[in-house]
Amino acid sequence: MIYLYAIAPVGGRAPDCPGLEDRPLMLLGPARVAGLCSEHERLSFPISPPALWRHDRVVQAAMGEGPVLPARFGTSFRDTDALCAALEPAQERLLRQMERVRGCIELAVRVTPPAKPASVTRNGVEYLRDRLDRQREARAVAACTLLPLAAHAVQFRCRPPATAAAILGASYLVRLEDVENFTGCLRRLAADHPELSLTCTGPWPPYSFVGEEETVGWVPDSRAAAGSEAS
Amino acid sequence: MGYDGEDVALIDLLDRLLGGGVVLTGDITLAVADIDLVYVGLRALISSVASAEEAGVRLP
Repeated sequence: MIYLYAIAPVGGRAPDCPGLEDRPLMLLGPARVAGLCSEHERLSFPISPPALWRHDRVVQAAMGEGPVLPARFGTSFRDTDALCAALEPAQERLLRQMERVRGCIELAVRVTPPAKPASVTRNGVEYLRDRLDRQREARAVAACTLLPLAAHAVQFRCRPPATAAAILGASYLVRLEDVENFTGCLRRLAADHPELSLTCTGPWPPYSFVGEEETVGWVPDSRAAAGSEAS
Repeated sequence: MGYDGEDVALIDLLDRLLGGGVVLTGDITLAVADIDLVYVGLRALISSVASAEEAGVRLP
């Protein structure tokens, strides 16, 4: 079985670090793109922190060689022919995506609003109203924190606010030369909003920016922030 | 709800590795405790909890 970590342009070299099960890494593929892979006997890998971190470490190491498109964890092929058959028709798209993420990293930001006491709802209308209020508040928080950060990113994606845990998250594709401005902006936002908890992790390979669709999943409405400030 | 830095990084890692990344027309086989959890051919439809919720999948 061939396990795929990432896709890279041809002509590069596989990183020296070991892959899953400490297997050596190799680059396989058709004419214009290559899959960064390792060969295994088993057909599946358990989702465990060590396996996930190992996959990530391999992709991070490959990023040192040039632009790469990280593969989703668990992507595997029966053999080299099956890998090439999957890569070949997608070569043009993959090369375009590589250009889009060249020289960029992904940064993840989470915003946790202050904890609120759980409200006791008496009926369905109250429940829905409470849920709507929470969503409105989450959008207002997102608008004043996640949107300003987007000014320092090539692209960003927001996760819709979860109703149970009011934690907001966003992924940003940031050019290496803009990372300092991004983190500076994050520090200013943290200072301006001491009531919020802001966390940032990264640099990640561009996991969130290699999908086919280029649209943003959810955009916080800036009018929500204006409404919130006015009330 | 509080997470330390390591937990947050692991959550972000899970979100990205299971919900992001290039999806090819390969097979994705994931297992939990040595039991195959999901096996999907062609276009894989494996997502993190966040992606599933986003897509309207009702989770327990």
